[in-house]
Amino acid sequence: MVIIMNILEIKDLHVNVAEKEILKGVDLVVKQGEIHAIMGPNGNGKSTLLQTIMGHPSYTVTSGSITFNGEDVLQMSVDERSRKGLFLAMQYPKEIAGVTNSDFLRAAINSRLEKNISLFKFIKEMESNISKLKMKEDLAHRFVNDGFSGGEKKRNEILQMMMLHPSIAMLDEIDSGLDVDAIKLVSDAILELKEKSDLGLMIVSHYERFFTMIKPTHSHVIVDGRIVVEGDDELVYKIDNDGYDWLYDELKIQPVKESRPLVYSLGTCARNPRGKNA
Amino acid sequence: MPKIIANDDVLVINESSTIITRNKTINLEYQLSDGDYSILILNDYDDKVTLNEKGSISNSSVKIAYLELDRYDLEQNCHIEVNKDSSLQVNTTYLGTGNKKIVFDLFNNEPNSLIDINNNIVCLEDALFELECIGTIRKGAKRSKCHQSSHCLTIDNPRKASVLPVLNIDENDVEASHSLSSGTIDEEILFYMNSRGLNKKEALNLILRSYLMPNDNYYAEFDEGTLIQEMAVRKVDEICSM
Repeated sequence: MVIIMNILEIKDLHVNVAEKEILKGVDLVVKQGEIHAIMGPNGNGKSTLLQTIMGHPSYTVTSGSITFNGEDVLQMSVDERSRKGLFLAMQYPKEIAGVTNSDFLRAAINSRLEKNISLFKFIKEMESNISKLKMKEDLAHRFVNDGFSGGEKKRNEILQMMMLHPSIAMLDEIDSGLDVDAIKLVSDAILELKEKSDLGLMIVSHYERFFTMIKPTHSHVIVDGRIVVEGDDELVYKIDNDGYDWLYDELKIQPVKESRPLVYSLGTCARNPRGKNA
Repeated sequence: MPKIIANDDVLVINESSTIITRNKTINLEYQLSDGDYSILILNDYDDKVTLNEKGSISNSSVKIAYLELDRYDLEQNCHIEVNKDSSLQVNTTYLGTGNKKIVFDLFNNEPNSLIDINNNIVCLEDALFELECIGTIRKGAKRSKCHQSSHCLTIDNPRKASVLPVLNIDENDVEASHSLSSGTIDEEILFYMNSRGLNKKEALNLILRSYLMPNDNYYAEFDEGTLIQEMAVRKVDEICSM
């Protein structure tokens, strides 16, 4: 019997965004069943890595390679990557007004099947997953993420992951916006899916609480577009306790400071409460 | 609900109806009073159609739905007067291909009249589409309401896609609003849909259906509800296979 092991391999990956180099040579191997915690200060390349693997058009790979089970991911369209088994749960999921969750998910499931999923099977599976995630029962008929709270959007990402059965899932700050109970629900759902399908995971999070529940097998810290240190779950706890400063001192590196666009006010003709022009 | 195949030039209606256009020029007239009415106007003529509509509504609640999914030219002029204690709800769905010029002239004539119009438009590459939607609240039409919203989705840079909302208000004690969204498909939404396995055509198909069939119950009260849904799905499939 031949056992196929799902492997995502990233070699010396360099990525630009708007002419600026963000990733400066990332090497990483993720195999099925493994849970990789990706950490690092804001603005140093964690989300860029995940978005690039998924194929976001704003990110340009200037050199290096990404392969999935030996196939060149960089030659694949975004939808092809998804159908091959890659999944990205986004930090800011988009709202699609007018398209219901059930239509969206059925179309997504059918896109990877030769014969369309039966309506009965689809509804049964969707209802079971909605119930596991304790989401509202009318979710199927609501428009995708439209009018959802931050927490609902994140749960909806996990729902989509559970319905699409990926081989490698990337979760970008999926725990932000979730309260303590919701984090527990989401982590239980992720672990159940991992047990069932031997899912490989790459998880970006700033919070040790989430990693305590998920129990990563590997951990990596990205600073200034490079993985500067790797370890197991002990590294997660050390960073939660001590922050990143010890790492900067030890390795003599400096993180990229997160830059925000400057906002200029053109002034306003509105009046302030005292009745004077603002 | 009677189905009227509009072969005559002049068409007078006085009850809830489905009107299917099968003539080059149709002059539609109605004076609806003391009741609830639903009217569906479905353009199914394989050539240019000119639709001139003149209506007046009194002591009534009226819903009118317009559906135009063909590539043929259309000129539509719609003038409706809404009188005391009456309401008019208009839902339009237009597929902008070819030459289409549409003017809605809707009047709150008397007190407590309500007008609500929702336009859903998809404009394709060959479209020369113009919609002018004018709501006028006349002097003396106190406590009247006039609301309009339009959503226009453009695909592949249409030659022209113009939607112009206008409100003329000649009375103080009223509520009025207009909203318009116009644009092409957001690249981030497309990426999101792609990242779930849908290719560009499959993603476009879902989005177009949401525009052309904004609500499953939209046409449900008409006998043609299922037929319309099938028509819209067929049309979307046709566009997406181009």
